[in-house]
Amino acid sequence: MYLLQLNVQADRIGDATLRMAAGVRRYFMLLWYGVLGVIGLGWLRRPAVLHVLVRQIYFTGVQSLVWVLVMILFAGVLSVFNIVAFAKGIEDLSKIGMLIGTLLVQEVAPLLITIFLLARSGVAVVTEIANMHIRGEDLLLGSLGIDRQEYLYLPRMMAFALCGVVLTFMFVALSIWFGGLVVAWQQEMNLGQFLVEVKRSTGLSSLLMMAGKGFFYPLLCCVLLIDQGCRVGRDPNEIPVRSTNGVVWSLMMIILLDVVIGILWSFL
Amino acid sequence: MSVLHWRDMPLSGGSEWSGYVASGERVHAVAPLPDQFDWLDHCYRSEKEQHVWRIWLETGSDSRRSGSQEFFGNVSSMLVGRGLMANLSMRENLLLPFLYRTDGEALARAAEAVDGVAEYLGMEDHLDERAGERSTYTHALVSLGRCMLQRPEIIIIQDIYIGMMPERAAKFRELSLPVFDELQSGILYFSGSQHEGSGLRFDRTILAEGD
Repeated sequence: MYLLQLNVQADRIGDATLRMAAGVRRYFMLLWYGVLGVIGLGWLRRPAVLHVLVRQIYFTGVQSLVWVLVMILFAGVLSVFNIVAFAKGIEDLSKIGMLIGTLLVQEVAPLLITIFLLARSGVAVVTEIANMHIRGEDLLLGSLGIDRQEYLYLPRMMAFALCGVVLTFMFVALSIWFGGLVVAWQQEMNLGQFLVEVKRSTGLSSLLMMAGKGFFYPLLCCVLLIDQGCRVGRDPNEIPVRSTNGVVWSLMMIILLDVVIGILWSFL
Repeated sequence: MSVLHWRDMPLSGGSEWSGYVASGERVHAVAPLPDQFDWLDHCYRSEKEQHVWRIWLETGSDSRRSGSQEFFGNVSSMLVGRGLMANLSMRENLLLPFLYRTDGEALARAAEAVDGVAEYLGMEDHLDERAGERSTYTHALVSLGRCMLQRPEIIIIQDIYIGMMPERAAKFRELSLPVFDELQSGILYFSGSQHEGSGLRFDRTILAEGD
């Protein structure tokens, strides 16, 4: 009896491991096709793909601008103000640049923008892809000789990655600028002096890290969201389950990845 | 003259079937729905997804494998309830294959002809509307419109009349039969039973039944 239970348990663990391995493989295949598609540049010659790309950029990036501005005014400016207040508290203004470079530029901005994109467009990606499967639009695309990966997935991945890096850059630049204005207005510090401190300590490596995270975090999330959308199959009841999975797993993946990058970065 | 061949296509009972349809010929393939979808799925797989080619189009000495762009340049499809992308306009739906391919001249020709085609199909007032959810009849109309724009050698039709109201089916027959006669394309008509209601006169009927 005990041996039987042990066998059942081993079967379950084995099944779960195989499912997980298949999921990981599917994820990396999608990512690989996406990378190959972007590098191939075939999409540039296809008006239909460009049209989807423009629409995705509009939805993911342009329509998000107002919300990103709100985040800048609240989260970004508050972060800068608190950093300056902290540096003044410990009477070491030279820490301002270092703290802004490490906290705001490298960590908060890419994470916040990725979480924002996930909240705003994550569910949309999963439900759109899932609905297309359910309505049989993937078969229609196939019947027209249209590569589903190139037409459906590639524009979404590119839009997430491009909007991610642009919005992250915007968040950082405007947060520092508006934050500096608030700091000067509160007579905490002179604006010129603040900008000099920021410039002194925010080096190229910080900017590269910001750009890399701002590009890859949304891209990796988008691939996971697309994968979840594809897994709905023909069952509409799966859509809410897969949407939730997509958003939550993306969030966990990014947080874990950020921890790993943080640890590796500390050794360099 | 082009001929669409298929070889060793698996059937749900475990056996296989092969066949062909030539330009101008009308062939009725009676097969269970899962086998129809298996056939279509194999035919529409992109080149990178195919490992074994079972469907190809022969034009003279040229052989074009299913999944290739050359194949889809000469083969059109009309599938039941699968003629529209919901988030595109009706005009974009009609022009979709041309918008995807890289042939600028063909796109310009199709864009010029699309208004005339829409007028023939009675949808000229709805061309710039978003497709959204539409009836089986509208799906069929748009598929027919694409065939008119593309003028393919072979048309694959899958039970296009299923789910259509009788008066709409009669109207669609009235619109589609002259088009098929004019195009002179080969037609491969898939249906689940021998009484499909298309009004087409078939040259041959293939019964694809498993063991």
